[in-house]
Amino acid sequence: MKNLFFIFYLLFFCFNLKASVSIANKKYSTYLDLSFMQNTNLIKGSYYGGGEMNSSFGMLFDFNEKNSLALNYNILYSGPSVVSESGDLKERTISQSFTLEWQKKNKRKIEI
Amino acid sequence: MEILKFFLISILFSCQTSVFGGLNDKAKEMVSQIVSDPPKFFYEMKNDSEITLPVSSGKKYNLNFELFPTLVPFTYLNASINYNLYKEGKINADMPQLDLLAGGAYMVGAKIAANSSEDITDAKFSSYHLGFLLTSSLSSKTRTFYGFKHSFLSSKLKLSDLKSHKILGVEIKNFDSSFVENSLIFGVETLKDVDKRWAVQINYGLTNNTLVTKLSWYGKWFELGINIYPEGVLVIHPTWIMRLSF
Repeated sequence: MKNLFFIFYLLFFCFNLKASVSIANKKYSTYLDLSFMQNTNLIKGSYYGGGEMNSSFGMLFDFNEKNSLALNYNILYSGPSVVSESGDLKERTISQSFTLEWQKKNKRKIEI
Repeated sequence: MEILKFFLISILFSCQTSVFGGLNDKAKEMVSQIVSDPPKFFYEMKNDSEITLPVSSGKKYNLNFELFPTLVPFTYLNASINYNLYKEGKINADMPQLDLLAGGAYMVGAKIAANSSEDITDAKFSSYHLGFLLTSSLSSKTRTFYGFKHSFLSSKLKLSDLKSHKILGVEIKNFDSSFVENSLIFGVETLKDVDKRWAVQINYGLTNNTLVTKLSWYGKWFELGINIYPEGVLVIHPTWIMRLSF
């Protein structure tokens, strides 16, 4: 226990939500995935906060029975939350990606 | 009872820095952050008053006035309008609802402080935002919304040259700068009961990489919310907004 330090990890907020629907009547459908977390670490009386987010928003356009177009935007954020005894690590990253995909249905049967 | 619970949780969130040790150090760090980039801090306050929610079904426009934390305690007088230009499915079933957003804010207290205090020679904080929202129904009770917002903040503070000004050992200097942000918005809204909705959204600033997650519960007159700024000076902002729908 002497060499150990106590970590109080309080998860203040954690949220995850997904929403999507099949395109029954519309030619397009939207897709949303929101996921984020905010936390606090308490080590030896010092306070550190951190957060993480991984969310994406997308759309699917159905032009006809064969052709459809899918768009997806993703944002990933990672804030400072890791603290070691030697010092605090306050690295933070944010990355984004955009995906564009053309989908074409092939009715031809492939047999192996 | 639910409102009471909400406020108790909000107070816990907003006081997280003071509850857990090192209050003085944390306060100094916060003052340093504000001094190093004052417009960003005031932008976060102003961003709370930018209501980026779709106009409810059957309504033409929303008038929004944020009461906390902009008007109280920062004396940020603010108003915004969300005007519905097109209702979903009115002409074409595939066209989403289109709302226009506009609003402004002005810090009344800054001018009063400048006039009444010998330490402050001049102070002015004003801002506006413009944008649009597209809203698509997922089901009879759930809608997704997505859009774009342009925000501008002008901040100016001129202190008396006769003496140095310090807060918690950090020297405060004059500044006169502006902050421009262009944000992407996407989120989801759900109808829970008659005139009772909740929404979650993310605003991501393309210009300055500002990131905020907004959670809102709103009814006929008021909206309660929590705004989380992972990179902000104050990470969690509890909000209270008067939201009138016509």
